[in-house]
Amino acid sequence: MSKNSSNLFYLGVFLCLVCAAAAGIMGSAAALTREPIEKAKVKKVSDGLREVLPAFDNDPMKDSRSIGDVQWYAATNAEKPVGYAARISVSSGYGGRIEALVSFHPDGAIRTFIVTGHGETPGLGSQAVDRVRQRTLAGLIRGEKAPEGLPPNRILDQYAGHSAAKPGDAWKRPWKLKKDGGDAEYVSGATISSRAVNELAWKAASAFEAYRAAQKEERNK
Amino acid sequence: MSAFHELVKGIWKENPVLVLSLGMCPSLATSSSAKNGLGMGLATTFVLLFSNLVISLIRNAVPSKIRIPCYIVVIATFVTVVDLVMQAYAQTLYNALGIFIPLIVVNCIVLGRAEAFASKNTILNSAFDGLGMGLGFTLALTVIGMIREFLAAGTLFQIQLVSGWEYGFSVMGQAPGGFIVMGFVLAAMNVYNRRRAEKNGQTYAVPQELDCRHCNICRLAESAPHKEQ
Repeated sequence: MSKNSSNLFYLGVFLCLVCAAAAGIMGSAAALTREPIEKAKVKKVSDGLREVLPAFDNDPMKDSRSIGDVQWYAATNAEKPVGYAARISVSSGYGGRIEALVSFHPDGAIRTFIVTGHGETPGLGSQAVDRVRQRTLAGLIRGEKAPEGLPPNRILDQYAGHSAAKPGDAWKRPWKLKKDGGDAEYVSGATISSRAVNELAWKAASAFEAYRAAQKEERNK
Repeated sequence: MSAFHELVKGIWKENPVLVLSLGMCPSLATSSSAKNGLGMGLATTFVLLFSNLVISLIRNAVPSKIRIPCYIVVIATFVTVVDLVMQAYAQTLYNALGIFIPLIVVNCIVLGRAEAFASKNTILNSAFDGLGMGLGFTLALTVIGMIREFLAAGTLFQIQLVSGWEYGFSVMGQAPGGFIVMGFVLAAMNVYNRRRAEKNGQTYAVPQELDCRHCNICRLAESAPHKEQ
């Protein structure tokens, strides 16, 4: 029984042993990393909330509810509501699902918007979803510090201030890209990504009223 | 041959991407920017180092008829561990490379080195071979990624070098640009080697042990290295 064996039984047992050892290693790795992975996932959401919401002193991760497939978080400061955020996703991106955090002022107008996960083409569709801090070589040499706040993105930033329900909003509802007869700007050459971003913004904005109604109903009980 | 030789050969003389032309699919997919290339290279280096180590360790115990399934199990185990550890402790890197990590299992370089080197050499040499090949892979991916990122966006590691590149050469960030840049880098490598050979009064030809024959993967069934008599 050795290297050159062709005994089927021996070969089968050997392969089983190798697989059992591998399973043991993978199992213990999974057990050891389960907690850090959970923590990392929660941290990703809470970091994102801190980025999109104004200063708050409650824990929005606890003041949270899901309506349909939208997860809502409420932020308060000194007991007064300062903003709401929606964790939302659409599957109409060029590279599949796009996940985002959309934050709202208490009156239902969009405050800001970050994309937390996407598979858009780097350099093309990614222009519509990525907020990249652009640093320059000259700036680095001069020792410039990065400005505070989120890096700008002309596609994501255009939704700020718009609301799905408030009367007098300049945009036709439902929101559409300019080339589809609406008002939203898009990245030329990345229409599908831009449409998906628009769909995300509209889905979150139009779900806001239902969320507020559910919240009020709960308070009245 | 010393262990040092095993380490250095993977970086230049037998660079897995630029000379051996192994693992082209992940090389093209992940070299879209310098950061992605570097991250993918380092993750692969880790897997290569440990898979070579373990395969060299068990090389005398594994029956030759089932050696390939055994190697694949070892490689897949390390890839899963890398995937989990990255997810737990390097979330940003995982967001950028997450979809490429499972590709390391089928990266031809890893199985190629297991079969062509680690299954026939000592543990120390195999570890150095894995490390060298991994660093060579990292170097090639980072260089190609830097060229592509610069042409596509005028940036290097996301630092703007040339301003006003908004309407950049964005095809370079995508698959066709990968093929084009890879072609030019391979050509430059060959020109360099030929010039150097001409200077020494020789003609350059790909060394026989480095052409398609070095990898054996296409002929696994017929050319088992420990064939039974």
